[in-house]
Amino acid sequence: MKQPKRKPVLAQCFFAMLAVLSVFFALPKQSFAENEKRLLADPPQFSLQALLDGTLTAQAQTYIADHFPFREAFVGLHAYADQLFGMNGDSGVIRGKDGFLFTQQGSVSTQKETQNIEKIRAFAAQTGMDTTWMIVPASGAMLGEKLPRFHKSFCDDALLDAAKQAVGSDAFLDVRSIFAPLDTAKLYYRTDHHLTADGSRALYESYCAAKGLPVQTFTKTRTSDGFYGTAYSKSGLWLTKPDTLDIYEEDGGDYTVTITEGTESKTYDSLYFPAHLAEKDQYPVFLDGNHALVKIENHRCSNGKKLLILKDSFAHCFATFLAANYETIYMVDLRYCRLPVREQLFADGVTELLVLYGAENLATSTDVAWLTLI
Amino acid sequence: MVFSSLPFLFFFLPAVLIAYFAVPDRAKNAVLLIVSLLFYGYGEPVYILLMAGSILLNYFAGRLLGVFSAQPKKKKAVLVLCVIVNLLLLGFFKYATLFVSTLKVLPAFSFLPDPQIALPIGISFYTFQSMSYVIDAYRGNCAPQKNLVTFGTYVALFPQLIAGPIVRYVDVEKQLQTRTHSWEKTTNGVRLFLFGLCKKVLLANALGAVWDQCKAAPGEQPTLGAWVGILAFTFQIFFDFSGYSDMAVGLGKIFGFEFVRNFNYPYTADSITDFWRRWHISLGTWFREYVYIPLGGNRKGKARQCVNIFIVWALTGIWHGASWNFLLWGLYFGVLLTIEKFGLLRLLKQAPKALSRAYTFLLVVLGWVLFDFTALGDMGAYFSSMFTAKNGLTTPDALALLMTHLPLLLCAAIFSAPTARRAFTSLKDRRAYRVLEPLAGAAAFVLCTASLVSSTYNPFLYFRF
Repeated sequence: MKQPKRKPVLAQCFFAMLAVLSVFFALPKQSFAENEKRLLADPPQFSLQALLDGTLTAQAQTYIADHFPFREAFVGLHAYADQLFGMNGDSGVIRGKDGFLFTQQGSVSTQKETQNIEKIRAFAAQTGMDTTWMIVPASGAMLGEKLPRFHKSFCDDALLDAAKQAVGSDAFLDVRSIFAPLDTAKLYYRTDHHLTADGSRALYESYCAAKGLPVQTFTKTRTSDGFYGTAYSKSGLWLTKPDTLDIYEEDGGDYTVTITEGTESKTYDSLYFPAHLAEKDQYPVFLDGNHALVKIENHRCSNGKKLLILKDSFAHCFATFLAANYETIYMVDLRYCRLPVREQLFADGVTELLVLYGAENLATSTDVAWLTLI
Repeated sequence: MVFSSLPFLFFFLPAVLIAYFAVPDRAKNAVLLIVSLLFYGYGEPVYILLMAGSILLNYFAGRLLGVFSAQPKKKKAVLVLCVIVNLLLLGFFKYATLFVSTLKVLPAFSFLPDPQIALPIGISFYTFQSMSYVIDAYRGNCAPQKNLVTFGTYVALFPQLIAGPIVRYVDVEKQLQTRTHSWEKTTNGVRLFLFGLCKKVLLANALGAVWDQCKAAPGEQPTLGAWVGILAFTFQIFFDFSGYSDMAVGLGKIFGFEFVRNFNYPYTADSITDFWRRWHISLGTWFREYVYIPLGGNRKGKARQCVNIFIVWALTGIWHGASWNFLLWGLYFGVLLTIEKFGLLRLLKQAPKALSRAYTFLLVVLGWVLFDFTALGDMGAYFSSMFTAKNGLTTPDALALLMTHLPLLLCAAIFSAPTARRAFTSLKDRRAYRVLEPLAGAAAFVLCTASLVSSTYNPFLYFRF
């Protein structure tokens, strides 16, 4: 029997898809990717030099990848296809229960962590500052019940134990025991690695108790229901429902915030930057996100207490509470700070030091060495 | 440029298809030659010159062989000279770094500078293709090609240019002059291309991520992790390489060519001998035709046959990369094949299929450890992770790695065997198939695109060779 002639539907389908996506590529381009928080590539600039040394084609490749039509939809499709295939975590984010997204840990060693701790201890010894340590474990390490059955393990316990041993248990406020009696699921964001305002508040109250400071009164002044954190952006799981972000303000607070980047300083009269509530990632509402040096002056406080916080972004929300108890707080982020501020700290009479880091950050940071510079 | 990349799929390929099918038949080779050179120059434009030089060298050698057809001595001189120059080019661009760094181990040579040579993509493939042409022209198996464009098209043809199959000139001699194009052939080509793309993007890349995790700390894996890792690599390298071959053969079909099949379910082989008839078939054929048989093959006694086997396998090993572990890998198979030749093969034939297949698969898997660790220390550490419990039998992380990739590994196993193909063939005559196939094809292509868009993790393993 003669085979009936088949229609070349598959080939036509394929060619049609190539054609459609190529045509879509001609549509106007965005210049900024909000989820990735970066500028997208500019069109490649032709030059003979660029052509010959291969940079032209490299630029073209980045440009095509950055401006691919329906880019985010494709990324999302891939993320959900991975989930369907059981590959939870391959994107660097573990999808947990109840809409929790956990940032997966890279390779972390207590050795590097202890080195960093020693550098900070040397700095504290030189400056004679009274030092307190708070190391925040990753959400995945604290929310075991929200994790899927199989996942890459979190080594925060080991990191915190090593830190506790290195600095001594007197100076170490163990975040694990602070959180133990509380409902941990409310202390971390679902779509972000940071602590919620409630989580930061719990730390604040413990800190006050340990240092003999009076706990001030705060009122929830604002709530956002549209916060998509960095774990969300990284995951591609676009259907995850957004987080709630609360802001507590001190009753009658009166602050001046000075933010320094390089040689430039700007002054603000609030700890909160509500403009960021219009963005996807709203965490920078606290102290405007990452900056090299931030100085907070409390005009209602004249107890003479002055504090330096060596920190990463875990401290941003926390500092909006602690600012109520200190006349002046300096926050130094060693990832960005290359300023010689030591003199200023001495002149201003800063006598206390708080080291507040996410555990993984402290254990992997290569920037702690810059301490000798400041 | 690689096939599984956005610039290729959405810019290069559509443009080439339009140009190729818009021009009359007599201009089709010229279009292919031009786009192939662009394809080649995409990554490293200067190496277009190398490619052009290689084409000219072998073209003129072929012409001279034609001129001297009645003068055996001169003919032989042309062949020897041409082969030597080809090998020198390959040797210089691929092996100079290894040669110098090895010499530098001796104190007397420690003054030597490190050569900074970037390996031209695909040089191992197109040098071997060109040599097949001159050798066959010398032997009279094919007529010297007079048309430079036609010959250039053969050498530079972009579908198989950078990762094979190694197409022998005699196999495509006629197709280079006249070939037919049809929607049926094109559909078959698209099907194979999409299948290869899925193998590379959906399977090999994901498996590669698993292997990278295990490979990063070769001495720290628990037993389970070490085995999961090397299994992932075992499947990764197969789907990476055979996926690329499928894409090449599929593209070839769209342009009217019929290339040889490069893989035939190698992981179902029931002996190492059988494995090498099913893995990278075009390379095996090349070494048999142009090295093993000219050396005398098995016609000069057992001792000489052994020597020949070891020469071929040392060369096969080192062809795969400029590093001594590849030589070790080649020799490992030389030893296994010799053992099989002198008796084991007969035993394997009588053994239950499951046993002989398990034997073959296990040895091939162990071979991949030799293949992928360039440092002997790492290789040893990995073997000891696999065969001892020095890091424990398992850890929660190793178990998680296995469990989160179990569906992937199962899929990989299924597509390594003819099972999927058999199911596909049995469905082919159903009415629903005509609707389902294009739908499945489109869905697969969308998934591949999603995967490519979402990650820049796209290194081709066979780029080094």
